[in-house]
Amino acid sequence: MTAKRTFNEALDRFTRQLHLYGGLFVCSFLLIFAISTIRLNHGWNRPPDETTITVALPIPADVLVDVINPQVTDDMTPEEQAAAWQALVDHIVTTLDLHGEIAGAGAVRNGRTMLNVARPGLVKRVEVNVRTQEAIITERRQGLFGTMRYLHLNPGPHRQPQWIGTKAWGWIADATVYVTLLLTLSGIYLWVFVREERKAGIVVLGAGAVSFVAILYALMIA
Amino acid sequence: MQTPRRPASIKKWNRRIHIWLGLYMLLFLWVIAVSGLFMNHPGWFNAQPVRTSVEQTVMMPDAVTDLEKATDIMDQLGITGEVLIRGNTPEGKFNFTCVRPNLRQFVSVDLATFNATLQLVDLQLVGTLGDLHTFTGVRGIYREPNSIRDWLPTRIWSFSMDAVAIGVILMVLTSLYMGWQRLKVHPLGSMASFALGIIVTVYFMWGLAWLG
Repeated sequence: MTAKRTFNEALDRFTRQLHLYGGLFVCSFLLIFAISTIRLNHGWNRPPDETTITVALPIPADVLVDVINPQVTDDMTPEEQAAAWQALVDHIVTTLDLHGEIAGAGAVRNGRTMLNVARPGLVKRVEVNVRTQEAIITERRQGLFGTMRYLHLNPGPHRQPQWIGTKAWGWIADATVYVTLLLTLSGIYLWVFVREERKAGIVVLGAGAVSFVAILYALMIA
Repeated sequence: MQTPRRPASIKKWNRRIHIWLGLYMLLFLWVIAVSGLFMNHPGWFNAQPVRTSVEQTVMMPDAVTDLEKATDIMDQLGITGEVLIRGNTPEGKFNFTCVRPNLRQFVSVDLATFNATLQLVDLQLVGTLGDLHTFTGVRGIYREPNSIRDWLPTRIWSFSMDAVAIGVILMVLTSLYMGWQRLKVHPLGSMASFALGIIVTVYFMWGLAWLG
C-alpha cells in the first residue's frame, strides 16, 4: 500500500467522521433555525401567555435623589445622568432578582421607569413607579415556537449582547454556521467519491446554482 | 449474462435524498449561513450605505389604492421592488418605499407640484447579505398597516426560504437515519455528538427560562 493511498484513506475516514459527528451535533440547532424561519417568513407569531403582578420595590434615598430630584438632576452632565440611571437599573435588577438581557436605560419620566428583561422563553416587562416604590412586572411566556423565534433573532445585528446567556447562544449560533459550512464542504468531498451519484449530483448542483442565480438576478438586477 | 438491477433500498434513497438536497441548496445555505454570521457580528464590517438622490416630475395616477398609485409612480420613475406603504404620510405628500435586498428606494411625491424625490440607498455587499437573510416582504419592522408581498421576486424568494427550511429539516431527518445506520460502526462518537447537541438545545430552549 502506497503512502498516498494510506493518506487518502485516512482523509476519507476523517472527513466521513467529521461529517457524521458535526451533523449530529448541529442537527437540533438547525431544526430550531429551520422551523423558526418558516414562522418568521409568514409572520406567524402567537401572542405570549401574560401574567402581571405588582410588588413593593424600596429604593434607597441616595439612588432616588439622583434620578427624580430636579435640584440634583438639572446640574448633571449626560454622563452623570446615565450613571445615576444605571444605578437605578442595577438596584431594580438586584432587588427583583432579574436575569436576562436587559433593555432600558433607567430614564425616569413622570416618576416611572421601564425595563425589559428577556431570555429564551420568557420576557419580563418591569414598570417601576419610583414615587410609590412599586414595580408592575408583566411576565410573557413565549411557548415553544416563541422561544425558537427568540433564539433565531438573538443576538442579532442591533444590540451587543450583555447577558452571558445571550452571549453563549451567540457562540452556539456562530458554531452552527461554522459547522454548517464545514458540513457542506465535507459533503461535497464525500459526494465526489460516490460514483453512482456523481452525474445526477452535478445536474442537481447545477439546477440549484441556476435557480439561485436567477432569483438573485430578479431580486437585485432585473 | 446481465443480472437485473435491484430497486434501490430505503438506505440508498435516504442517502440520495440527502445528497441531492444538500447539493441543490448549497448556494442558498452558504448565503443564509454567512449572512447570519455577519448579522451576529455587526462590528466586523463598517460598510456605510451609499446615498444618492434624484428629482423628477410625475403624473399623479387616479388609482384607487395606495399600492396601485405607488406601482404607477414606480413605472414612471423606472424602479421596481417590494412596495412598503407606512400609515404616517405627512399632509400634502405621497410617500412610499420600494425595497430590494441591495437597494432602498424612498419616494416622496409633493401633491401640489407633482415633484417626486427619489432617494436611493445602496446597501453594499454586507448590507445586501443581511437583507437577503430577512427579505420576506411582510416584516413587522416595516410597520405597514396592510402588509402583503406585492412583488413577484419577493414571493419567489420567500417561497425559496420556506423550501430551504423544509429542505434543512429533511436533511436533518435523513442524516439522523444515516447516523442510526452507522451507530454500530461509530457508537460512542455518534451518541456523544448527538447528545451534546440535544443537551445544549434543551438548556437554551427551556433551561434558561426555568433555571434563571
